[in-house]
Amino acid sequence: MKGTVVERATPLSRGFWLVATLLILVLAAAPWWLGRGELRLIAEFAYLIALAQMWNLLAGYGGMISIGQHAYVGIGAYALLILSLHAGVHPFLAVPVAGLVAAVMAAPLSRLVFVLKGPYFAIGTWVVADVLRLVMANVPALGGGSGESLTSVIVGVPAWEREAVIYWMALAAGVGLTMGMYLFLTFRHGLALTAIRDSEAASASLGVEVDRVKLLVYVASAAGLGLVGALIYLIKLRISPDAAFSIEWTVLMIFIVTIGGIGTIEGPIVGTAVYFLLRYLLADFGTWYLVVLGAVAVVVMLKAPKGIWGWVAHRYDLHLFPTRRRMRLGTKAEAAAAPALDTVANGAG
Amino acid sequence: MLAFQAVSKSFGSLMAVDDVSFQLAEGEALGIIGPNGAGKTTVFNLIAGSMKPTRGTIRFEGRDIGGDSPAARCRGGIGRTHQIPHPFSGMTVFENTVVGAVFGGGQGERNSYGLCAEILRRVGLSDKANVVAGSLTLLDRKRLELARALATQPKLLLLDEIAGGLTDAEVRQLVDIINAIRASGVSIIWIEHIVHALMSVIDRLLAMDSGRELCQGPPAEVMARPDVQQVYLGIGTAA
Repeated sequence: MKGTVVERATPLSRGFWLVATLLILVLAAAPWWLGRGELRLIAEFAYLIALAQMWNLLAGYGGMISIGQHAYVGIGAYALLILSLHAGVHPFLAVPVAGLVAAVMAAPLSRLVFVLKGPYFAIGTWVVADVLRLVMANVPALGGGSGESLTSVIVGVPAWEREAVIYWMALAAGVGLTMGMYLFLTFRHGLALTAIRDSEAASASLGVEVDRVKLLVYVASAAGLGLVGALIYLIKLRISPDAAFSIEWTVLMIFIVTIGGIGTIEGPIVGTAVYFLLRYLLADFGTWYLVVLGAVAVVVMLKAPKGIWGWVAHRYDLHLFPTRRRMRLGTKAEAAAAPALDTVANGAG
Repeated sequence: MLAFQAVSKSFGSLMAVDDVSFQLAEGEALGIIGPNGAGKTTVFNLIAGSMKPTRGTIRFEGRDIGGDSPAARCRGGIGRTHQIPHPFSGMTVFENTVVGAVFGGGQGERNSYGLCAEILRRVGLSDKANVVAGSLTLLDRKRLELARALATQPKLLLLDEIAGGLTDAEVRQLVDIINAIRASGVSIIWIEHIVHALMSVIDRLLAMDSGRELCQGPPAEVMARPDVQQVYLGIGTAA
């Protein structure tokens, strides 16, 4: 049909974008008006969103449930260590390069884990991560099992500049990876990715090269995790195999994504907010903190299997990152009737 | 246009398809019948590429397509619907169709919108274009399977029990749609249990049982054969 019009944005999403842009601008100026503690907290919030978003990309869209994505956090951390401490690369430059290193490592590792399916894939990814941990622990030049300190590479940078640049990089990673994923989903390949999320068999029989898209997603996810891993250890300044290749990173990503809403862009943001809130509220309760965290995960999975945002999006047809292509038919009369069409969609959605 | 030559497919000791051969001419409509487990859907999986044959070759437009991925075969002009609909449940009906047009039909996304709108009109889904596919009824899911396969602009369309589970009125609607697709020059292979629906579309009929070909030929002749009636309709079995 000639003149078929398709639109994505909704009035709500336009309003949200305006608010989000203002918020990001205000946050970008934070080093001039916030203290070190607050900056670190916001940076952590931002990089956790980035980490969660990368697991969401892999599992929520690519359908690859990995429990070994901490492999790439660790690779990123060690890439930072080798580049900045041993090869003399400026640590700020080493962070994005660490993302590239993780992507280059992901290509051969994918051949290893892609042979496995479903639960075997999940365990396989974990094994790969643990093997990497053991390998790093046995390299004396990189500090072996106790690791190395990065303090010496960063002392030359003035304190304010150090804090500000690290903060900006974390903010850029959180905003950039979220936006990158959103843009990707609005393109052609995003359509393929969403299709694979919903049915691999149908995607293949409609001409989508499922394996190629999955490889692309796996490598992209690894690149993001490597970059964020390097950033995290530029903040922590001490890298050891047990910490960098700790499964806690993956557990945290899975918790945030499943609580917030798997397979949505909004989910990891909501999940990170819930995680921060729980951590703040339960800070004084010691071990009970973990018990409550686990209980929250169980309750959300039982009551809202698609996570908090999945429930909200379904209940109120709310989309802050609209990827949906809404069709309007060409003629003026039909265009005028289109709101009614939308109402039908909303009612059934 | 399609030559299925002495093809076998075994799963361990089970012969799901056992030395089956048939040809399909351009513009022709072939029906496949047989009891459950006769290997009909396996034949489709072999043609569409989601399974590889154990023996035999499959040629499409003269070329051996044995090494092609399912996606490549779809782009080459083989469209299929699944027996159990697999909608992209989180996407709208319209988006479902766009996936077929863009990846199977090789169109630019924007260029595909007009075609997709037209296909949705043809299968009667226009008013549900912006509905999330996961909320569709069975009839609409089957229509969507058809719409998506059509959006890939196939030369050969494989229909797997697309009328199963529908009411008589719905089946009649579907038969009209399928006949219109045929009239536009698309070759069709249709697996169906609802024989009267099948008979109003096809030129030729292949009957299968336990992975083997029972017989093939003009639909009325095939249906009249005692062995077909015995296996398929359970008539004349010595109880």
